[in-house]
Amino acid sequence: MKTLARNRGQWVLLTFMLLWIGLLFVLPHLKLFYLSFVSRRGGEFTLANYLYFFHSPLYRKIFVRTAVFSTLVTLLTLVISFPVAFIITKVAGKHLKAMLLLAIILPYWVSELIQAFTWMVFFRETGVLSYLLRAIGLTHHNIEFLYHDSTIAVGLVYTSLLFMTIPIINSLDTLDDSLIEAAYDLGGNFWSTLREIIIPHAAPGMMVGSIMVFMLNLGNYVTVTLLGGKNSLWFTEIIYNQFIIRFNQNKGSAFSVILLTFSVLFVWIVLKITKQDLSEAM
Amino acid sequence: MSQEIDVALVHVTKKFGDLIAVNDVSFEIPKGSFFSILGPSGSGKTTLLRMIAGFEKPTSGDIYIGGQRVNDVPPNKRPCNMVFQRLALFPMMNVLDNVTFGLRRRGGISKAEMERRAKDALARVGLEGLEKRKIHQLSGGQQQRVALARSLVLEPTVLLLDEPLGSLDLKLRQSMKLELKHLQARTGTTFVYITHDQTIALAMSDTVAVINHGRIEQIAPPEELYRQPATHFVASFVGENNKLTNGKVVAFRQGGGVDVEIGGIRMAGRAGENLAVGDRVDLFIRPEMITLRPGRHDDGIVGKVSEINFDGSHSLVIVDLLESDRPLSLNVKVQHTENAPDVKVGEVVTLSWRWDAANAFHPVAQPRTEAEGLP
Amino acid sequence: MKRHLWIILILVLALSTALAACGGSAKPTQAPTQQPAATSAPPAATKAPPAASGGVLRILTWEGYAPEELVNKFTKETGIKVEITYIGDNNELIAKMAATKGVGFDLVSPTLNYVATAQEQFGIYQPLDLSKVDKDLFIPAYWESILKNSEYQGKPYALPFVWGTTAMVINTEKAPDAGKSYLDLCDPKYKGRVSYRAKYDTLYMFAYALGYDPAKAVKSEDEYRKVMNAVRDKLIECKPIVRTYWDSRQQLEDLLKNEEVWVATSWDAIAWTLMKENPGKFKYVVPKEGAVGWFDTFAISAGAENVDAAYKWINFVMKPENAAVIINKTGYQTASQGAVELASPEMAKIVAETLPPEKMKTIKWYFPLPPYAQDIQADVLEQVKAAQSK
Repeated sequence: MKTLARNRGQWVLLTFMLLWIGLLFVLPHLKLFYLSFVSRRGGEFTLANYLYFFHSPLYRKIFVRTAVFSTLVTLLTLVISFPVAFIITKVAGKHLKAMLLLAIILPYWVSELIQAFTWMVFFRETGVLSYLLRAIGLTHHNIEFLYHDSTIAVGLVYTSLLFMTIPIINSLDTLDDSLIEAAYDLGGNFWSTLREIIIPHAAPGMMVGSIMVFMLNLGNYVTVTLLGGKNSLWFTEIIYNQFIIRFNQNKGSAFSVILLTFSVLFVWIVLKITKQDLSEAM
Repeated sequence: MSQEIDVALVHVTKKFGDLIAVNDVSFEIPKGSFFSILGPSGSGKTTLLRMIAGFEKPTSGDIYIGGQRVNDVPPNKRPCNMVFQRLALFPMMNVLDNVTFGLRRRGGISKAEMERRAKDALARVGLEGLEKRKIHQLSGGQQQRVALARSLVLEPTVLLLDEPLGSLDLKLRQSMKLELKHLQARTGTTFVYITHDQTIALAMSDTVAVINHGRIEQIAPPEELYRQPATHFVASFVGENNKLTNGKVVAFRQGGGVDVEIGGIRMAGRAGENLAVGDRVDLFIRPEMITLRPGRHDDGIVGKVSEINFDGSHSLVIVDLLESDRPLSLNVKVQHTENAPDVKVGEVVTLSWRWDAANAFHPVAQPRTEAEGLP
Repeated sequence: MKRHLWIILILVLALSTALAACGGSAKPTQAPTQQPAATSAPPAATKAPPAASGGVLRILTWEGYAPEELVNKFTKETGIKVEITYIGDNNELIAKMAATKGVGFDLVSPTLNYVATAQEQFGIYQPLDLSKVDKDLFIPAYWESILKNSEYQGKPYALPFVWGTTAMVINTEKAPDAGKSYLDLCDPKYKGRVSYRAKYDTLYMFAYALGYDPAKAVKSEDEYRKVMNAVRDKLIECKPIVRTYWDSRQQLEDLLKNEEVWVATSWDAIAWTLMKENPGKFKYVVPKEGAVGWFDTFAISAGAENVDAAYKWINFVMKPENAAVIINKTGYQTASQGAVELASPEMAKIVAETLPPEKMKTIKWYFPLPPYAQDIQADVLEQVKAAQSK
């Protein structure tokens, strides 16, 4: 009786999971895939939707810009998050640890839009940063910090920090401190210990974090638009325009598939670099 | 003392806030010896070892390794290596890479040479041919050996071992125990081994330091430690002992012996410390040092066998004393030799021992001591 | 093993997140008629007591067009429960409706130029039954005009509701002379102190300012592309002048109030609110090319399940005392006869000053867009935004 109930529970769970993945992930993407290969009118097979992208220097440019920028921001986030995660797991006392964690989590109590507006208040010509610089006498007139690529980078790093830090904290947590001590004991210094012991151990967390952050950046819209100003055109906006402004589901789907393909490629490259093997895990 | 000294501690104290973990410890470890630090958990032995390794800095006092003061030398620059309690093998590397890790840090050694030395070290611990294995593919005993090889390949002046046998099962522990001792003899490296397991300490060491509440209680060769404990703590911590409490010194004997009256019975013992007639004392008697004879005799203490526990090579016989004014009993270890006395439960027996087989100490006011912190 | 499963799960979720944007509902784009974006306004389920009778009315509209105050009052009077979904953009409205042929909504408020063309393309509305509408509640001129302009195959599809204009707002201290023409937005004098939207209203303004008539040109694809390409070249040329393209009401207000921008395009309601709050500092100006005007309407969904309730809501909202609530909430004008008089007199004065009858005559109303026109406009806007400049 008991096993029966447990079995039933497992079946319910499995069914739910399959439905979840099937309805919310597989089906929509199959539809997307299908739509990307048919013409807008008539619905016969065509590659035109993809060719349209590859023949448009404008879209290629925006795509490359989005991809390169997302990659750079991901790396930057990684470089900033790693020491933070390390301090939280290995160095900080109980109080500092709680404070740092809070500082990372706190921004997520408000929406991304509010976060972006906060940055605007901070960076704008008449904003906080400009005021502070004047107050300490570094400059005599207001400076506009908004609407630069670097402003976008700051905003994106900020919104992604949590998604990078938490996985790294997770993996560093399982790193036995005595491994670090052993490395030192055997003559290792800071860099060799970091390179040979800590980073290899944290690699899965860094990988998960990088993938999540990269995806978030790639799909970002709000932060990029609000902080980037007139020169910031993100690839997601192009996809949005296809679906919503032009009512062109087919080109929109093709562009989505291109973005998805690139994302998968990125994941694959990250897996290669970190020597993580998904098939072994399966 | 013409011996060369490898490690010396001079008045070393370590405090963590209010807690005094190590309290004014001084000792010297001669080159090439197997030195154990024995103590219960929380006694400060790990802190002591970590100070020698360089992971903790003494609050006061000096540490010398190979004649050089190393207080300000970081762990990666000290001529000693540590085998960690949980071994701390690098799971992301194979056996060879683990063993060459230290060599790679030194630089100036060719790859082939590193590999040769690593293989050599692995051969010394009996792990030939496993260079390419992953750590998790090894058994507990094999991992132990990799940890040893990883340190030994660096040819350290001193090898520190933080109870590395603790996690092994009994059989493996026994064989590793011997192997460690042989290894130490072969390499001639100074071993500093910390443990709470006195059988390991006694079996392997040239010298054992017993530590309790941050203080050294006694430093001595294992046999001396066993036969002539210097303190009440050592007597009760090292080896099995009968402990008879509430005795009173009634007379002195020649050669440092005392007569102690316990429960109305007069017993002989060695004065473990300075005693005066009339002092209250506890008397410790090793169970295997007591001679048991069937029947009632005048030259001993008469008792009745209440329990016999067979234990292979010997039996543990529990004897209730018949002539005491309060219930007292003694454990007696009887070897199963050819002419061993054959006794049964309920039989009357007579117990006796050489006076210097027992040790008398002032009772210790347990458990409050300074090492436990304040207030 | 466990860890890796975890990784895969995250991976899958992350991929879907990246693509959520492609699904296209996460974007806070705003049409001229949109109120300040309350960041995450929940689709308002009203707190009205459960209706005893009359069922549920499902409205798809802009923020501020169905204030809670009116919804509660309506439910009390009729027993009909109201469910509201907000849209931020006409295209979004069409996309939502087209996905289900209108099923799921009873009453919608598209802008006039999205009625007849959308009906032709997607068939998402149903013809009006004018016998159910109280005609006396409407200002007659608007009634006539909107019914006529929403005709498709001889039948009217939309009733007038709320209207507004888009022209320019200036900082009267920093740029007192600006606002004579939309080309002032390109004046190097105001370099870095100019803001406008990277949206279609800006395209129309520049088209008129460059001497074209986009409403006429739109009838021919080639003609329209020519006009829009000219606008594109001008906008790219002017890109060094503009500080940033504004995207939300809040953003424009901040830019103006902090004096980071002196000259901008603006919806009348934003400018009027600023004028009311900072007397003398800002001014809503209609340049010689005329303001761009839009008219939001009532239309009944083709998939409506509660048509009667929809008409009841129209008759209810257009009562002057109710329409006045919307005027006060949004700052926009309505087609309700007598509502203006009930709204704030202070605001009425500002409106009369900045949008006098002779300026009203020059309003360039939004014109219906054939499908190719949407593409042309999107092309031009993408090219303008992608052009890099200092």
